[in-house]
Amino acid sequence: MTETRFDPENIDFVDYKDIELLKRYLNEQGKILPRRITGVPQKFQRKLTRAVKRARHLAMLPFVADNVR
Amino acid sequence: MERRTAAGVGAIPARRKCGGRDFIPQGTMSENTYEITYIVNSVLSDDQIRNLVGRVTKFIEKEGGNIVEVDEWGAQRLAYPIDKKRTGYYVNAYFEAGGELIARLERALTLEDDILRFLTLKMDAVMLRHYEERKEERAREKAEGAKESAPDKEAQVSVAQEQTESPSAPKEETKTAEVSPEETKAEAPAEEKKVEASAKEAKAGATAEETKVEAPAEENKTEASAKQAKAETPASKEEAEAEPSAEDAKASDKA
Repeated sequence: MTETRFDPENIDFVDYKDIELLKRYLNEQGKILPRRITGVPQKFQRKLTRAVKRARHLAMLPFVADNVR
Repeated sequence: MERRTAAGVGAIPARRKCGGRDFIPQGTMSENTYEITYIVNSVLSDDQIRNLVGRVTKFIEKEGGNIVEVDEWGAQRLAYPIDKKRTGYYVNAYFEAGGELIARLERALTLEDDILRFLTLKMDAVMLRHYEERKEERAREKAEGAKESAPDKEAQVSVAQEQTESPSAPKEETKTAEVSPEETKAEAPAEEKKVEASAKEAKAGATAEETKVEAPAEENKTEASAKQAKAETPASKEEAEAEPSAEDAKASDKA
């Protein structure tokens, strides 16, 4: 079900600037969802994780969401 | 653009093959393409920000880099406070340079108090391709935006499309007329709007470009058909009074 959202095969680079895409793989706390929930390939999950961490460094994504703090 | 692709993409296999930087043609300091995003303190005045961005850009150029693009995103809210500031002025820049520049650039940025954060990335072939694609996308969006301001040809096309779609609009009007037959005349102006809205909603499935272009023409049409509906209302009123439940059922079927 989750796999049908888009075809990860077509994305060979996950851009840290694409916040809307990254947000789909975070829970409301701002944590990266595990692969067992997102259902994406390992390759993609790794790219995703790197992009999320870059975006966090630049304060484009939270380390901890405001509503939890 | 072509040249940069050649320098960025071509350089990697070429260097591996030849095993050294000697292969790079003379006169081109640029070995790699880099992307840098930095956050400027947005508390500064516009002049100061411009000054600082200009200084960073000049620094890269002076040190032998070659600026490809500087994209200022402007002031944005930070996801968490940095140095007790909740907003920052984002600048995203692309440049070609030798690797030895990066250390110097990053040192200069660290010393700059008004730069809150920065992230430098060396762009590999995949990132460069992604960058080109994004650029093309943006260019296309721009072109489409320009088209919409002068939509002569497209308007004609959309009229033709509407005619095929028109049956849906009158149906809805008769439905609303049947549901509240005594109030139809009083409500007519409001109803027109409603119909317009529902017609637009019905078309929401079409592509964004189409809907935008079609909207004005469509309004005229639905207004016209709404007038038709008004003319028909006496008849439908009688029908509705005669057997309202059946009509309701029909209406819901149509819907």
